[in-house]
Amino acid sequence: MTENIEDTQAGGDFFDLLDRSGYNLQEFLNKLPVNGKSTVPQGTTVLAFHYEDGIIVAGDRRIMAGSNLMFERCEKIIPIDSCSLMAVAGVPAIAFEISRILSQYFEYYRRTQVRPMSLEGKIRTFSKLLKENLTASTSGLTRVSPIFATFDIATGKPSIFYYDMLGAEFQVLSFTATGAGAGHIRDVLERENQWGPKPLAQRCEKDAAIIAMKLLHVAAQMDSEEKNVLADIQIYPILASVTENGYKFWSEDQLTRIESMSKEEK
Amino acid sequence: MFEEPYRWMEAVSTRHNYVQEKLKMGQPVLAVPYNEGLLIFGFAPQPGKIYEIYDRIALGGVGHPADVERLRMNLLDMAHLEGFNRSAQDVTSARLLQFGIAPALKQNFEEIQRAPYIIRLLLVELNEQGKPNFFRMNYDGHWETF
Repeated sequence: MTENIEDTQAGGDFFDLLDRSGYNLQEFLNKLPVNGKSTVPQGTTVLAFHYEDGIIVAGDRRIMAGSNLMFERCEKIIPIDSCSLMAVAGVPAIAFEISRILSQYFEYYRRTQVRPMSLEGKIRTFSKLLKENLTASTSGLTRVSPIFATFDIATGKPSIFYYDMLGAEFQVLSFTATGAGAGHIRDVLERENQWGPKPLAQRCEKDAAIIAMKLLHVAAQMDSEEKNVLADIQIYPILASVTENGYKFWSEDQLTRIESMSKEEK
Repeated sequence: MFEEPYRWMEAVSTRHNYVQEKLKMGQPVLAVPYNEGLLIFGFAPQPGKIYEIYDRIALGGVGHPADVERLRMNLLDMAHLEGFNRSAQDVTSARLLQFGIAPALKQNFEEIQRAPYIIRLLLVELNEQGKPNFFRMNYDGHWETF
């Protein structure tokens, strides 16, 4: 232990610490099954867009395993730190692992360096994690295209970042979505943004929540494996926002209210 | 190395004296419990005094800033690896001290040829029930709660 004391570098690099402790994310990912149809649960859709106070992040909690619907309470929107959320539509196991590593990383950095990591640093860390660990695998199942929504206290600005399969980061200025129903959602969001009463970034919280809820319904209908589109598919929405006060999740009661409001409007 | 046991005891006694002399010059750190938790504070804007270690664990140090820094880094590494591999609840100051820092400090202190750590630590935590725990760690690896 005395030897390690000398070797410790005060760089705040949690990846380095994990490596030295023998943790190997790549090995874990390589063990995942490489196949088309499998019974590993897959996620559906998540979306994020800017609104008046910050960012709305929404997802459908349904988890598909093959063509079976599993009603697990599976969180696809995961807090990373007090002002950041990660939304993933990929394999939950990977999403949870990534979120754990990242949240420990940001806290570790803040505590060792006695200052929080800058926004750019956080984005790059996320990108580094993806690039180093997720591109080598050829399995379609390990593909994760996460959305990172954060409020930077230093600049007072909310930002959404989208990461593609190779880990490249893209700043999203208005809206984005990933997952099975993402294409349809993006079309609707584009229409709302361009030709709606107001651009999305100016909508108030209630309107933004209602739109998000409607979009989840759209995605659920289009995404279903059933050839007949069911008019009223039960979705299990999860809704969250990131503002200057940090992140917050809508409670079940609030979600029910938003759900009924979204059905009233036509 | 030492022809008589007396020489070894003399060396250890000198070592103690040396470190204690150095520690006398340090600014103290105080920790006090109160109804909402606990308060830890130091005097004047000195570097290397109060640090956050984990969610509910804080560190106060007296002594050589570089030594405090080394031990702080080790505590942080241990705490975060444990928190990552298991959970945040599994990170307790007793474990960090008893299994992590104490053996290393004792070993360092016993190696007469090497420079000693000039350090005295105060480790405080709020346990799951919200009650504060206080631990004091001495430069020779002796630790106690109070």
